[in-house]
Amino acid sequence: MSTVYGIDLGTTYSCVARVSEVSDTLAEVVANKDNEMTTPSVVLFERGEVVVGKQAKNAARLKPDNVTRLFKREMGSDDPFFQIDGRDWWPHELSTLVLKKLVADAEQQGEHVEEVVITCPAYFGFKERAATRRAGEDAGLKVLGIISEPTAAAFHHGLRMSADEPARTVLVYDLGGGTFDVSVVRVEGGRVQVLATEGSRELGGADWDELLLEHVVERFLTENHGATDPRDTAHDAQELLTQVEAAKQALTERQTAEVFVRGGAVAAMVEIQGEAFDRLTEPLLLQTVDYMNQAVGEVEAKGQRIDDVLLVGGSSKMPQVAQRVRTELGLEPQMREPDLAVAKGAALAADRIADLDEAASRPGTAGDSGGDGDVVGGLTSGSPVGDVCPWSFGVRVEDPDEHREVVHHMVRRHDPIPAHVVETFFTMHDDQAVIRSGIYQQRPGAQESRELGDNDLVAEYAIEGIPPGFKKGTPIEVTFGMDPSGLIVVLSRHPGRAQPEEVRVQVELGGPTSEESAQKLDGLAFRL
Amino acid sequence: MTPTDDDRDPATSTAPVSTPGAGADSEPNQVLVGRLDEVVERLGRLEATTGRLSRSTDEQQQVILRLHEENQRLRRGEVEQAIAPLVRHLVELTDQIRQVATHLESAEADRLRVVERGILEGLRRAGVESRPTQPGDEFDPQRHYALGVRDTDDPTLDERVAEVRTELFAWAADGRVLRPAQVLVHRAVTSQQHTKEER
Repeated sequence: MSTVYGIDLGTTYSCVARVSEVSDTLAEVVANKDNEMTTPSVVLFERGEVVVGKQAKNAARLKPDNVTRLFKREMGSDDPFFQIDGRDWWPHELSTLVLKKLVADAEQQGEHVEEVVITCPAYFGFKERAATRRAGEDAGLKVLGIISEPTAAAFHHGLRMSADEPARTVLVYDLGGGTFDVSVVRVEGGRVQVLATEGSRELGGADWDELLLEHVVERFLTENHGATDPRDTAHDAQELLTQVEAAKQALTERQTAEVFVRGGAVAAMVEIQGEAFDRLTEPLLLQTVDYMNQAVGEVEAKGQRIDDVLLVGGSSKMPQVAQRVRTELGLEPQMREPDLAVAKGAALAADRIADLDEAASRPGTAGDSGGDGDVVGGLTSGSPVGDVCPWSFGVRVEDPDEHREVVHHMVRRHDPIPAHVVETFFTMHDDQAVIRSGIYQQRPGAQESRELGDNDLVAEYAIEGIPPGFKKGTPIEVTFGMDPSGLIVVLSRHPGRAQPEEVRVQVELGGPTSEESAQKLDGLAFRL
Repeated sequence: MTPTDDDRDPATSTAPVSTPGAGADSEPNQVLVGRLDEVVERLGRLEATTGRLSRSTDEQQQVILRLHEENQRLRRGEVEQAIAPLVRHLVELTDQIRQVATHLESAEADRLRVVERGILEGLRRAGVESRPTQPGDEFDPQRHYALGVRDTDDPTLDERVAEVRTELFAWAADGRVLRPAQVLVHRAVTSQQHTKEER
C-alpha cells in the first residue's frame, strides 16, 4: 500500500502529516520547505505567479489587493471570494492552491502525496464538505475522506490508548484562529464515533486579539497626554496588531507582557497583566463554555459521561482555557501538540481508510455487508471514523394536504453518519415517468424548518424510467445515504425496477467546473 | 544445516581439479596452467567480494552519517523547541529596547544599548543571530514582513525598504528565519495616487 497523508486544511494555517514508518499508531508531520510544521493559508497573486504561505503573508500589507486569506470560512459559497486581474476565485479554488503548495513542499522532502484525508470544521455542512473534496480533487489528489477536525484530533488521541482499554468518551475543545468547535466523541478499539458537536465560525483567537488591541489602545490614550490613536495610521495599526498577537502568545508562558505603541508623536510601553487579559476576554471564553456545555448536555442526556478532555488549536494554549474547562467539567484537560494533532489524526485515519479500501477491493470482500461495514452505494459505516450529521438533510416533496412543496427531513442534525434512511414516496400523476426533486440542508445556525426557503438547496436529482400504466399514488422507495465526506447517495426502487438503482446526485457548487478551474490554474506559475 | 557447494563462499571454497586425457609431457604444465587459471579466477571472485564488501561498508557509512545528521537535527530541534520561549522573550526585549531607545536622550539610550548588546550576545550563544536590514534593501518576503507602505515619487525606490521597525532574527546554524524584520516598504506612486497610509 502506498503512503497516504492527512491534511489539516486550516482557516489560518495548514499542515500535512503521514503515518510513521516506525509504527502505524504514530504519525509525523511533513515539514514545509522552510522546515516549518505549518504553512499559512494565505495566497498572493503576482504578475501571473502564485505564492502561497509565509511569503504571501509577509507581503500582504504591501500588496493588499493581491493577497487573499480566510477563504475557508466561505467554503461552499455560491459567490466568488476574491477577484484579481479580472478573474473571480471561489473559496474551493483558493484552497486548491493551498493544497498544491502543501503537496509541492512535501514532494521536495521526498514524499509522494496522492491519496489524502482532508479535515474540515465540524460545523461544515454537505456543501462545504463537497467543496473541500473538490478542492482536493482539483489539486490532483485522490480524496479518501473528509473528516471533521475535532474527530481527527480524537483519532490521534484514541490511537494512543491501548487496544484492550475500555471505551472512553472524549470532549474535544478546538479553539483555532478563526473558528471554535467542540465535539464529544466515543473512542473504542481504534474507532471514533462522534456523539455531539457544537461551535461557531465567528469565534476564534482573532477575537481575543481584537479585544486586547482595544484595551491596549485605550490604556495608551488614557496614560499618554497628546497621543493619537495608532489605528489612524495603517502601518502603526498593523505593527500594534503584530505586537498584540505576540503579547497574547507571551501570556501563555508568563504573567506579564509588554506592547510598544506609537500614536502620532508619542510612543510608550503598555504592560499587560495576565489576570487583566483573562478578565477582559472572559465574555469570549464564556461563549465557548456555553457551546461546550450544550454538547455535554446532549451526551449526558443519552446517559454518557465525559472521561477525558482534549484541548486542540493554537488558541487553546491560553491558560484561561484549561483553567475554565477544568472548573466546568472537573477534569484535567490534556493538550498534546494542539497545532499538529488534527493533521496527525487525519493521517492515522487515512491509513485506516486505505486499509479498509484495500480489503474491500479484494475479491470476495467488496460490498460485504455482513460485518460492521454496512454499505450503501459505496458509503460504509465500517469506517474508522463515524461522525454526526451537522445539519438536518431532506428531500423536496409535495405536501398532499397543503398542496405545496416542503422539505421532508430524512437525516436529522446529530444523527450518526454514515447513515441511510429508507422511505416510501408516491407518484403525483397517472403515468408519471420521472420524479424530480432536490436535496436540502438546514441552514447553518437556523432552526430546522420544512419551508423550502429556510433550507439551502444542495443538489438536484431525478428518478427516471418509471414505466407507463401506473396510477397516481404508486409507491417509490427511496434510500437516502450520506457519509461525513460530503457524499450523498440516493437509491430508488419503483415498479419498473426490481433492484434499487443509484440516482446521480449533482452537487450545486457555485463557480466554475473542475475543467474551467484547471484552465485557470494552467495559466499560473507557482513560486515555491 | 548441512553446508553444500551453494553455501560456500565462492572466493574461499575449493573444487577438485580434473585433467582428463592430458599427455604425460605436458601434464605438469597443463596442471600448472589450470591451477593458475583457477587462482586468477578465484582472485577475480575475491576482488568482486571485496568490492561488494567495500560498497556495503560505504553504504553503511552513508547510513551512519545520515542517521548522525538526522540525530543532530533532531537534537537541535529539541534544543530549539526547549529554548524557544526564552528566545522569543529575549527577541521581544531587544525590540522594545530599540524602540524605547529611539525616544530617549542619547546618554540614557546608550546605557540601554549596552543592555541590548548583552542580550544579543546571549542570543548568539544560544544559536540565534540578529541580521541587519537597511533602508533601501529590496523587499524580500522570505526575510521581511511588511507592516505597511510609504509612498514615494522615486520609481527606483519601489518595493525597497523605507524603514526598519524591528530586526530580523535567524538561526545561525542554517540561516532559517526565526522572526522576519518588520519593515515599511516604499511604493512608487504618481502624484494623484496617494494612499491612506500616510495621511
